[in-house]
Amino acid sequence: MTSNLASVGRVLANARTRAALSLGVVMAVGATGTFAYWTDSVPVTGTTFTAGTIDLQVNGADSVSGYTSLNISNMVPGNTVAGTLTIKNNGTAPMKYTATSTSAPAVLSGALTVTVTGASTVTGTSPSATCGGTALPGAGSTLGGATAASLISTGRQLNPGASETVCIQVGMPAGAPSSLQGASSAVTFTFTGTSDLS
Amino acid sequence: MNSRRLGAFLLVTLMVLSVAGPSQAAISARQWSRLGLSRMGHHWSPNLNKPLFGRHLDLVPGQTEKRTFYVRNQSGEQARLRVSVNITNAHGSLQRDAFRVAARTRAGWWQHVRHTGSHAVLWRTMARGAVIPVTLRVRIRPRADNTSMDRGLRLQVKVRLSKRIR
Repeated sequence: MTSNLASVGRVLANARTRAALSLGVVMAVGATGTFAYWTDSVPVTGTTFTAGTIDLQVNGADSVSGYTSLNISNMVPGNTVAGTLTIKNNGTAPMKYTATSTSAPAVLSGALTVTVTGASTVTGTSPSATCGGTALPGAGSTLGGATAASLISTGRQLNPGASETVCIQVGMPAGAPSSLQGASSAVTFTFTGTSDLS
Repeated sequence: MNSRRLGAFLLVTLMVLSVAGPSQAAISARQWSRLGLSRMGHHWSPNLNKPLFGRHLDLVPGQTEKRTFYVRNQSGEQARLRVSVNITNAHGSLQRDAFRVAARTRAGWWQHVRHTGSHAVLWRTMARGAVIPVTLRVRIRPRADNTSMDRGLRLQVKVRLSKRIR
């Protein structure tokens, strides 16, 4: 045993042997090694997506009651009454709006004429008030009864925050039948906005 | 040469070489990213610098937004590409069926993401030097109703290139 240890000692004492063993140790570590990963990753800055809103308002409100600008009593053939409404998109997405009219009772529907223009003010006073300018594209010509009639059929686009004024003129034509005497109707205008701009 | 000196010389040489290796790699990494990104496929950089869709985007029902960016494997070897998206609610609760998010490469199939959280949408092997276009699509269903108004989500994208090495 002692001689073997001594032999080993002599072998280790040799510098070449030590160097070779060192090399072997280093190489052995490299060969068994470890598996490693390299990873390169990049975040792409995020985006916040929001479903836009459309909020159609007429005269600054979602619902208008007690609108009396178009009130007229004792209407006779040739009389006209007119009033303006401000339509606004209070949302965050552009919209297009249209409008319809209904009346109850429907006795006057179809008999009275309707004109819608882009005038911002009424010309004259009742019973001769009128709306200046030309009729809007797709503007209706008669009031609806129980079934809605188109008031503005061609969608009018309003961008977020934008508004415009429409002038509505209602008149009794000169040839209105006498059967309409004493008739009375409450008219409702309904404005509808949509995000579909097509 | 004295054998002892030779042995010492060999040992020292090995140590010098092993120390130099990582430093060289570190220097290389600083100069040339393994992963290159580009908006148009012409100018490459380690990141896109700006949000893909902008910081904030309003959508309406039926609206679709798509953006494409390009990924290049600059590692000098084959590697694995992974693209993931992380969706979080930005404004309260999200109506599940209103938003649609999807991703694809080239003309491949759209990989859809239907829930919030992190999702891997693309994973594939890239040859060294390969360039892959990645397209992201965000839209609101045409029939999304008024309850989806003002709801939103936040979308983040992460691109990762990796390689298992010995």
